[in-house]
Amino acid sequence: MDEAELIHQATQGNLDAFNRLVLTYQEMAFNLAFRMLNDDAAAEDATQTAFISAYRNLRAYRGGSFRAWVMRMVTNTCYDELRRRHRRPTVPLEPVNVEDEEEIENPSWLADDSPSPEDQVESKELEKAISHCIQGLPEDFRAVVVMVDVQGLDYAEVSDAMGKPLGTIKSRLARARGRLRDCLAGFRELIPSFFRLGEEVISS
Amino acid sequence: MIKGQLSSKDWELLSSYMDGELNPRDKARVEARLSARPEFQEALDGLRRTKAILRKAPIRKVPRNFTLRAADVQPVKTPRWIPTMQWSSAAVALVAVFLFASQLVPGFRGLATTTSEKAVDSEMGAPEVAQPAQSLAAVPAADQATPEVIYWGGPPAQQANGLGGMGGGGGGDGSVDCGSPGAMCGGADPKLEVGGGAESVLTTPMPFPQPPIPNMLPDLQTQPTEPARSAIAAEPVTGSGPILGVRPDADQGAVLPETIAPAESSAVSDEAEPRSTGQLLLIAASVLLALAAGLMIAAILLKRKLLR
Repeated sequence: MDEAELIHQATQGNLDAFNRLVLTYQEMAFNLAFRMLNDDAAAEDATQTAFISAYRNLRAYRGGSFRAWVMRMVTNTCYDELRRRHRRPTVPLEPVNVEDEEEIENPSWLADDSPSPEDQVESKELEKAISHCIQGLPEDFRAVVVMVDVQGLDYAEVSDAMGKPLGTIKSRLARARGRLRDCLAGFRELIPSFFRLGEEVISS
Repeated sequence: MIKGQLSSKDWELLSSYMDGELNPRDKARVEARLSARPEFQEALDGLRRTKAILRKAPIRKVPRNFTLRAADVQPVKTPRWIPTMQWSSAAVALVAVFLFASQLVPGFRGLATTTSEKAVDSEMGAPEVAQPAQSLAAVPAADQATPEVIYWGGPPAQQANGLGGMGGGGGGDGSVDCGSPGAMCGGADPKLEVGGGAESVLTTPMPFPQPPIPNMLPDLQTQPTEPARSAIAAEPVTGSGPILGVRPDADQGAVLPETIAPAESSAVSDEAEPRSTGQLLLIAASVLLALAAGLMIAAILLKRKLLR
């Protein structure tokens, strides 16, 4: 059964057909949610909420890329979660300065700007570097660059998923890439093989 | 270094060029710049390197399947009382608007103040005996019922015209007949000028003795009371308006308790009623509007909470 047929049956209320679509896109949806929220539990909740929302609003699907439509549900759910976080910011537990035993008031201790040199596993360093740099982007830039560069969607799909014109997507993607380029350059010493891989891509 | 040399438009063109998302004309333009300007090539290399690294980002395994159960997608049953709350708030708001309109629109106000007018009528219909005691300046309408005349020390042998001057006229010549409508005959002594007349003209000799002046002043200040008036012989005459007099000889000089006649007190309480009716309507409208807003907000919040 192809995707169009599954979508049609799901629209008629066939939950099994919809669940087959869920199995197809759940990994992409979860990874997008994770890159947006940078938290496993929150990404899990957002993914589940997005699929429930997708099923309930299936009649609003007007054709086109179903993958982009699902990503739109995920993106909107993540935006809701990010707005909720802005409304109710959580106060981090502040560590105590060992010298004067006073609390360090600046929460910047959470931001690990310099990757730990003790961590020798390069893939973990890469993950750390990418997560750190992506989280430093504005939310709209984050969604675009994750969908295009991490998940491989084309511009039209991202435009559908974001509900924004193609020009806006191009502009946001270019600016996001520029920022990521500068940010990742700071990790060159920790992930040299990946930079070498980049050089190979350029020379090829 | 490169960032400062390229405009944001150049970066956008390079980014789209890298993804193969440019039209042929823009693509040719970018390729011309790439061959002519090394900073363009350097920028493109940086973008490609970044993209290659991002493509190598580890894909996270899903912690579980996100397939839905029938229970997950059951339509949310909105409690029946939520729409009821919404409609009741609309009804309450309509009632409140009507109440406001009844106070603001003249046509509505006429309907709403019917009871107020009745209260005023009852006030106007109070026994005329009480009228002189209320205010010396209050001159009743000319077509009112025959007022009561109170005489000093007993009824006169003939009609006393011009005593006290023209009541309420202020500047009259005092020759007006006391029996005429609207006239107010006051004290015997023109110096008192109770009625406001300039000068009284005594056309007929007074058949009864004048009361001493010192006794008059306290009486005027304290105003005559119902028990005292009831003891005085009264003779109805034509005309209207309060007519002042003095108490009989037996009561002169005595300090009488100041009490308000039942009819008078009821008139006072009736006077406050029209005002309070309007105020009560406005208060009721405000309360109803607040209730409507509260119900509406509560219904919306509850509905959102249930649908979440």
